[in-house]
Amino acid sequence: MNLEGEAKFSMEVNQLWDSLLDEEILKKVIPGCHELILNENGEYDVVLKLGVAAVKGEYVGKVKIEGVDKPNYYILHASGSGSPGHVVAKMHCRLFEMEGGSRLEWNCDAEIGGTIASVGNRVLGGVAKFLAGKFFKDIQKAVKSASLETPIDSAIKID
Amino acid sequence: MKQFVGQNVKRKEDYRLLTGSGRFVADIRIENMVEAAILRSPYAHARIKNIDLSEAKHYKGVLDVIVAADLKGNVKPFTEFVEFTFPPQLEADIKPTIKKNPEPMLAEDKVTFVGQAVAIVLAEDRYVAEDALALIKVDYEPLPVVTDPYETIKEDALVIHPELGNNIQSHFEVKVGDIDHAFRQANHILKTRIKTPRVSGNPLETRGVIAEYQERNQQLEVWSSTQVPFMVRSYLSKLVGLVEGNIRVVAPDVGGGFGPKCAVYPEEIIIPYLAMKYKRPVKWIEDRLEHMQSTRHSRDQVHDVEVAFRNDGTIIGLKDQFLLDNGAHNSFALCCAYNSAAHLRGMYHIPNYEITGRIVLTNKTPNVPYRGAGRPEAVYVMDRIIYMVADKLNLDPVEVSMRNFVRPEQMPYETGIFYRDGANMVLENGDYVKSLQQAMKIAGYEEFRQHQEEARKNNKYIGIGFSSYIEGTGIGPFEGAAVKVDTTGHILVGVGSSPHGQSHETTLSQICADVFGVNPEQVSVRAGDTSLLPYGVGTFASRGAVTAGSAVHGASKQLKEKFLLIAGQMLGVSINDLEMYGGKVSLKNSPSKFVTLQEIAQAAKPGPRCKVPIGIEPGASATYYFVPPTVTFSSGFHVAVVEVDKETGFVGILRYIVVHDCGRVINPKIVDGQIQGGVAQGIGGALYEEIIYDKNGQLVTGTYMDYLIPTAMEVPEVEMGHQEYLSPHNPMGIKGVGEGGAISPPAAIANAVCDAMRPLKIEINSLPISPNKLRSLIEEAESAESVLN
Repeated sequence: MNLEGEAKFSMEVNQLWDSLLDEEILKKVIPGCHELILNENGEYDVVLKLGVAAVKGEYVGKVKIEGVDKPNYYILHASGSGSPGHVVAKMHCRLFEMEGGSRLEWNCDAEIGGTIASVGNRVLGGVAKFLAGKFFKDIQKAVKSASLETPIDSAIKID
Repeated sequence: MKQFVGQNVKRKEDYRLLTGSGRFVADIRIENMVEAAILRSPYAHARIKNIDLSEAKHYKGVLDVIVAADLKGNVKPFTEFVEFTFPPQLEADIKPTIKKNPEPMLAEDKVTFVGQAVAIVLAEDRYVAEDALALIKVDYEPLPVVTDPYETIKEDALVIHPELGNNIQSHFEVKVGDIDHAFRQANHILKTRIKTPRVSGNPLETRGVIAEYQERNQQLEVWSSTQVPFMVRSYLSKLVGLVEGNIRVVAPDVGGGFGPKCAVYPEEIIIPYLAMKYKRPVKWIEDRLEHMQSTRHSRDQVHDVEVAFRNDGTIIGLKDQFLLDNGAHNSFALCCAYNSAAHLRGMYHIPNYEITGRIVLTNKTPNVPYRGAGRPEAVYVMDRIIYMVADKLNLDPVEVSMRNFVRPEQMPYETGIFYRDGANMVLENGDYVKSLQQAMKIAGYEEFRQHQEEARKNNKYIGIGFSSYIEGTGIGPFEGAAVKVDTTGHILVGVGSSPHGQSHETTLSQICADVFGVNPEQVSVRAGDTSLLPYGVGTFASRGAVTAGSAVHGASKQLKEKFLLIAGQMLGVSINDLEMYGGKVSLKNSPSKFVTLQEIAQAAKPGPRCKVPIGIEPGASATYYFVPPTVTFSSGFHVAVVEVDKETGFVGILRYIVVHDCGRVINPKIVDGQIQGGVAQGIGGALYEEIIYDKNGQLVTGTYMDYLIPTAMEVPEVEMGHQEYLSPHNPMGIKGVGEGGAISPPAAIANAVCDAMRPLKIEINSLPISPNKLRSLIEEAESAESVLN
């Protein structure tokens, strides 16, 4: 599954960069995040509790940031598995300055397996879109100075 | 004397099934029983690096968790199902390459398809068992996946089972006549690729197994939702190392089988083994998601065909190279693939024929027979060809068919190849010309053509399509029946072939009742229990009525002869002076002198009052095994009348007609029911059903939201016509009817849709005909047309 989208923020690009990589903020805004622990090797251990269609459960996984070109670009690798199945995602994030704030373009390749693939496949796109929209909205909210424009989740495209 | 064969005797099974008093595996409760739940692979291909069971094993209410290592030395692995291997003369003819590739009981160091069993939890109840499944931690290392049959045969493809060398599991060729000569003689040559997708059998009842072991007498009882209880018993005995006579396998009421419940599954071996190991009854009931993932699928063939034909529509040669995507394992030899090869020419006289079949392996669920077993795929190829030839020559497809039929005067017609049972494949009788005429008369073909023209003027697209099939039915090697009369005069029939919707209790009682001249009410038929007879085969391949019916007929006749002998002793006359009817044996010329079946049964008991003539065993029973010389060929025509909504690509079926020959009809209503049900499944294959895997081998059609099956709303009442060409291969002239209904609908409906869209000349050579697929074809055709104009 390939997802792509963009979100606009009313904060300047360096602040957006910091927020997107701030452990404390991420802990609050990643949907279903129960644990986010930074390891010595720079990887995060995560525990998510999420439900897709009838398949609810806990996913234990890792998040890794790569290809960092502050404040323009990074790649987020995420993988997790649990009783409902497994997910491996690679997300390219591009940050831009724009008038009145900043903009994030992202493109994500996700591979889903197990029960969620068999049962939830038809709703996965919608769920992913919802979660991505919520994530960016919550980032904006979490940054105190933020105001005004909310992310445009309608810009999310799914193949 | 009233005959019951041929009558609409009401189904004896209906009362219990319709009032909810049937007894299926899941209904069985045994004291102290534990329930099993199975952890299945979420990966299509992965190495199992580690399995951590510690948490699951310590979960409250869990008895144990079992993985492959626990079976080592206790349960032997499957080898191959010898029941499906070919006789030597057939092997010599087609020289197949078949690599042994059985399924493991539980995945050991790697998984090769999503849904493969990895571990089994035994717990006090299903809830606990499922909770414990979530606590098992399997460390998988994902491996590259292959899901495409063409990718998997490439030289550089990853090899799923390295010990096989490559992913081509089987290969065979069938050759008749001189194909090169035929292609040189042709006016036209047509090449195309025709695909039938992977589908699931979807019985109402999923699989399920219960086992109970009695240590005091070493008796193992197993209840399984299977089509073949005797085969389950045989493999249990072999693989767990048990005395076969100590095992009783029961198939109680079974809610549909359709092929995927034919042959043995790992669960049918492991669950009984665990019942023995833990000395507690064990129950495992498959849920629907497990069913979609792990109950074997079917079809999944791609044919590359070339057809040589003349200007008048005569087909003189046919070449076909096809692939059968068998998923990760094949334990069924060439079963479906060879059926396709043997049936592809169907009722057509095509003297030059060359077909190469390859069974290839991919990271998908294994593939097995399903209602039609290789024939719907073959018929779809052949009947699309008939329509494509007709299109090319601008002839009516009916005319093309008529030109190519095997004629009654050519019968018995030697096809020039062996059947799967090793006998020469011979079409024994039938009249295909008349049969198609009859079908087209019911359809009102001529009038329809006029109606169609008018409808097109109003932008309404209706079409008519037909398909023909032949089917070798009633395959051996044998089936048995034990008939006895108890001391109350009631007749009990035990058979080895067990029902899962086929109405054995009704039809077999009709056959027995006619032999004894009694009412079927006086006959009780029992099946689905290995304790009824020493040997049995099962119910599949449209064989029940032919084989079990003939066995009941033979056993009943033997017992009748014995009863006449006993009655002769009782009445002091020769048996030539006696006749049997109405539950009595009476003197032909003095009907008031008689003995009842009850009195004869009592006189058959051993002891001083026994009237069984000296030299004959006492007792009121007879056992007979019917061994068919070969299969017998049923045939039929299906006609579909459809309307296509050009804007949405939606296909509606306006009428559906079937004319068929299944030899002697035992119970017309039951035959009609078989056809109606088969057509429903065939419509599913034509319009709705497809098992889809993504490129990672993930099953994405795991629920009925995504895997569509037709409901009563989509299935019209089938209009039927019957022909009755009696089979020469069994005493009653029966031919099988179980699968025929499901064989032709994909071809008939695809042809009807092509006919409806004829102005656009679209070709539907893959299934299902979903609205999006049809819309794309319409769009392509329209843009091609606009380019041409």
